[in-house]
Amino acid sequence: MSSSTRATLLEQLRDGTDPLAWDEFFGRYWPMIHAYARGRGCSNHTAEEVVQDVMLTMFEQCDIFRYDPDRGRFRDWLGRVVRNQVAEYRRRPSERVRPRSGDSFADTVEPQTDDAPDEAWETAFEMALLTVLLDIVRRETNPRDYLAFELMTLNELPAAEVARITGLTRNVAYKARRRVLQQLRQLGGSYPDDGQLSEQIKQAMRLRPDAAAERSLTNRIEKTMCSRSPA
Amino acid sequence: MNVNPQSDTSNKPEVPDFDLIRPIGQGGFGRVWLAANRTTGRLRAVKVIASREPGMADPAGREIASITRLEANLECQHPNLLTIHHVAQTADHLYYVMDLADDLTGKPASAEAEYRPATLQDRLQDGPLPPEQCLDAARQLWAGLASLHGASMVHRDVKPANCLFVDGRLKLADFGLLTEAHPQISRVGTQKYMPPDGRMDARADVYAAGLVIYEMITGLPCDRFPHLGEMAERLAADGVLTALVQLVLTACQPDPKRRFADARTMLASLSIDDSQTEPRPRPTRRWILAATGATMLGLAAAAVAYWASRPPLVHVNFISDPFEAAIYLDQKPLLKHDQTPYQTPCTIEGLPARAHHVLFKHDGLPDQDAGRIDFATTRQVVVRFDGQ
Repeated sequence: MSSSTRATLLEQLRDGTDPLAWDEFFGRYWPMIHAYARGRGCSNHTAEEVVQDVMLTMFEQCDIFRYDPDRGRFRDWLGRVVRNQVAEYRRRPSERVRPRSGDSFADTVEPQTDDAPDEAWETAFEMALLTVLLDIVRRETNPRDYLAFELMTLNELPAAEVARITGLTRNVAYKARRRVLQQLRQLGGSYPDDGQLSEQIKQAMRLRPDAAAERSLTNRIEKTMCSRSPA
Repeated sequence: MNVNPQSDTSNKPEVPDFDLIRPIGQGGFGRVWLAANRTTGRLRAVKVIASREPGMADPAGREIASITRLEANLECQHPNLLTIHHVAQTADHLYYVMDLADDLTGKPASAEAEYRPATLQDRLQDGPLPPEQCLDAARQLWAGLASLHGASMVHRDVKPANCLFVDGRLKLADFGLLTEAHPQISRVGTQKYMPPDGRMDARADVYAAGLVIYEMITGLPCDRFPHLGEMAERLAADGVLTALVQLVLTACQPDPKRRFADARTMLASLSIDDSQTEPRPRPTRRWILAATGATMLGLAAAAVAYWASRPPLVHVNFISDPFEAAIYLDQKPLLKHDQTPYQTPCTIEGLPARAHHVLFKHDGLPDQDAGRIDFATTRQVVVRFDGQ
C-alpha cells in the first residue's frame, strides 16, 4: 500500500453517493482528526465534536469539492479543514473547557499556544497512518505472532512472559516481533532501521482513540449522516 | 439480532394464542416480538417470518428445516441453547415461541416499554466482562455449541447478538442458519465472524466463538483481534485471562487445521481448575539468590530454597485427531489415579513445567511422536495421526 491517499477513494468521495466510500473515508481519517484535536489540547468531547463537524463538512461539500492532485496533497486540504475547525472551537469560550464524565482534569485543559499547527497535523497524520499500516500487518500475521509483537513492543513484557502467554518459545516470540517490524517497514517504505520505530508505534497507539470513543463517534456519525441523507 | 424497542408496531401479524406487544428484535428474515400468552399471560418471545411469496426466497421454509433438524438431532434440550416451545404456521406466517431473555437492567422481563432483552452484545457496550464472568460465559457458550457439534450440526451465526441471558444463564439463540455438518456448507452468517478460509463447518463455529470470547475479554470489537488494548497490562497477573487468551489464539487460527476440531475439543481444553485462577508465584532471580543466602540460616531455609528451585506444576491440554489416544511422557504412560490411562482430548493437571518427550499411541495407527516439548512455554500439544 502506498502512503498516499488512494485515488479511487477520492474519486468515490467526489460524487459522495457511495456509502461505502464514506465508511472508508470515516474509518481511515477520523483517528487522525481526533488525534490532532486531542494533541491541540481539546477534551475528548470536543475532539469528537471536531471529527463530527469535519465529517459533515466533507459530506455537505462533496458536490462542490473537487480535489485536484496537482494543486497539492489531499492531506494538506483536509488538514486545513481540520485546523480551521479546531481553531473555531478554541475561539468559543463555552467549548474550551467542557468536562464530560470520564474526562480527567488534564483532558479538559486547553493549551493557549498555537505554534506550528502544520507540524502537529503532519504528526497526527503520520501517527494515524502508522496505525493503519499496523492494522494491515495485523490482518496478515498469525494472531499468535502479532500478539507476541504487541506484548513485547507496546507492553514491554519480558520474552519469557510473552512466551508463556502466547504459547510460543522465547526464540520464536523474538522472531515474530522482528518479522512484524520488517513487514511494517516494507509497507511504510519510509521507516529507517534506527531503533525508533518501536517508540513511534507506542506513540501512535497511545494517540489512537479507545474503543468507547470509537463506538460513540461511529453511532453519532451514522445517526447524523442518516438524518441528512436524501430519502 | 438487532434490537430496537422503538420500532413501530404497524403491520403487526396475528398469531394464535398470543398477543404480540411490540418488536424487540430484527433478524435477517423475521422479526422477534415480545408477546403474552392469551390464556396464562406469560411473556414469551415470538419470532414471526413471512411465508414464501411467489418468485421470492423461502426464509420460512429454511427456518422450518433448521428447527426440524434441531429437534430431530438433539436428544434433549441443552441448558445453553435457547428453548423453542412451539412452532406453527398461519396462512401468512411461520411463527415460533421461545424463552424471553432477561431484562438488560437485571430486572425481571416485563411488558413495560423499558424492557430490552439482555444480549451479550448489549452487555459488551459497557466494556469487557470481569475475568470470572468471561470464564463462566465462555464455558456456557462452548457447552451449547458443543451439544450442536456433538449432534453433527453447525450453527453458522455465532456472535454476541445471538447470545442471550435467560435467568442469568447464557443461551445460544437464532438457529435460522443451523445445518448438518458436511463438507460443502454454503458461506452464510455474519461477515466479520467468518474465518478467512471460508469453510463454514464446526471449525468456523469455533473461530466465531473464539472471537466472541475475545470481545468479552477486551471489550473491543472483534475486528481488532488479537490486539488486547488495556487488558494486556492485566494479562501477566491473571491466570484466567491468560488461559482464555491462549484458547482464543488457538480457536482463531487462520488455518482451520490448527484450530480446535469442534466446540467439544475447545470445551475440553477449558478445564481451568481453581488453582489456575491465581497466578502461581514464579521463582525470580532475586528470590533464588535470597533463598540461596538463607541456607546459612539453617536446614529449614535450605528446604524452602530447594522447593522453590523445582519447576512449578502446570496443566497441559493433549488433543489428537482422532481422539482416544494414550499419552506417553518420557516413555511412561500418563495414568489417572485409578491407574487407567488418560485418553485424548484431555487436560492433565500438575505436570512439571520443563521439557518432556511426548508420544501418542492409538490402536491400529502408527505412533505419533510429538518430540521434546517444554511445558514451561507450551500448554497444548496437538497431533494428527498419519493416514487420517
